[in-house]
Amino acid sequence: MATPAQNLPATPAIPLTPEVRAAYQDLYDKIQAELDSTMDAAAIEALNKWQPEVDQVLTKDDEFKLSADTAILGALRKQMNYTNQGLKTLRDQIASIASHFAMAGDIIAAIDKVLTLVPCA
Amino acid sequence: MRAGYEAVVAYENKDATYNPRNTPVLLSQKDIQARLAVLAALQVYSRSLIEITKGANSPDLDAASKSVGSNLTSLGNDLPPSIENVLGIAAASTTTTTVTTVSGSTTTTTSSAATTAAPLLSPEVGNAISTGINALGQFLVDRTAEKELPGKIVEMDPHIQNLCKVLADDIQTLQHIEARDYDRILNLEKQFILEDELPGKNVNPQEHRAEIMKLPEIARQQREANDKLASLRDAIDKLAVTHHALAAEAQHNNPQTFKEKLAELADVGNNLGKFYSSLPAN
Repeated sequence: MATPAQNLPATPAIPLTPEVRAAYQDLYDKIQAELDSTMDAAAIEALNKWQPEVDQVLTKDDEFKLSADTAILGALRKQMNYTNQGLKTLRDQIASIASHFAMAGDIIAAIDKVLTLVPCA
Repeated sequence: MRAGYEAVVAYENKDATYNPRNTPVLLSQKDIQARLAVLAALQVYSRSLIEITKGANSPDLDAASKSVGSNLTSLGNDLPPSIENVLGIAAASTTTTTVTTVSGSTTTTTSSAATTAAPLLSPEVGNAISTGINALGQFLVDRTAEKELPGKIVEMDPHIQNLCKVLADDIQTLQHIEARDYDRILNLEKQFILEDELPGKNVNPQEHRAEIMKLPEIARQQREANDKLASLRDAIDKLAVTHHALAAEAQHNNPQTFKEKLAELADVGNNLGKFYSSLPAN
């Protein structure tokens, strides 16, 4: 995994609040639905790059609940920062090649929801 | 399996930070054994209740009961943090705020804009789980006389409820993680297949078909894994509900309905047994 961005704002509540978790989960599901329904290599490559980072937020949240390990707490915060920075990139990418994505609007709306709940600098 | 796919991605991206030795492990063997020990104890417990009621003395069950009970007692005294801390799942899933305090059977939530970690597990709850495991272990080691059984069941009920909740929440979390692992595997497999179809790749057609044919098999494995964990969680939930009903019945002094409830508990216990028989030998 690449180094997470460090210039990001307020630390989110850990474990994730139900609303924040639901937003990440919804984004994950929207990306998965697009992946399941497309044969467009460019779309799959773009989504495959960022879906695992969304997955990492959910997984680290699960892991923290399982272990309550403070090291995982820090890792989750970094992961959220890194993921949210990447989601901005993905949103721009989807917007620029929207014709490759059947659900471009849905995915962008789900990204915006996450970024509204957990804003990035 | 996912680790293998991620290794391919790392190599294709020339990711110098990738090191196969650092592949994360969600649950260690010790963590898994701790969970299995508690599940095994719940199964033997439900069988023991039936045997005690029948006045039967099965040497095999008696030996199994003592063995599982002793194992559990040592777990209760030195409880693996992973088992103790899974209570955090319950705290997170039952509140809509960031701070939750659990004391005994009472959960108190406080709205707060706190940005620090929520206290996932109070010492009281940690002690309650340890006490529950110890109580279950002690019951299995000591057994009890038939005439004392109704009282013992009532006494055991809060412990059974606590343990079942912890295990069910824990399994649900593992179920989510596993489902996403399989999603990732399917997504990467699809990407590899499509990349092989790009001009200039000249992939062997038979090998290409073989890769495509992996997709439904992976999807089948995903369903199977999910079904197995869902069945286990269902069995645990039913065990808790059935035991609670049995404990209520134990206070009514109606031998017939008490025996009916016991029979229901035995059925549920058998479902836990099916999970064990589905596990690989090692």
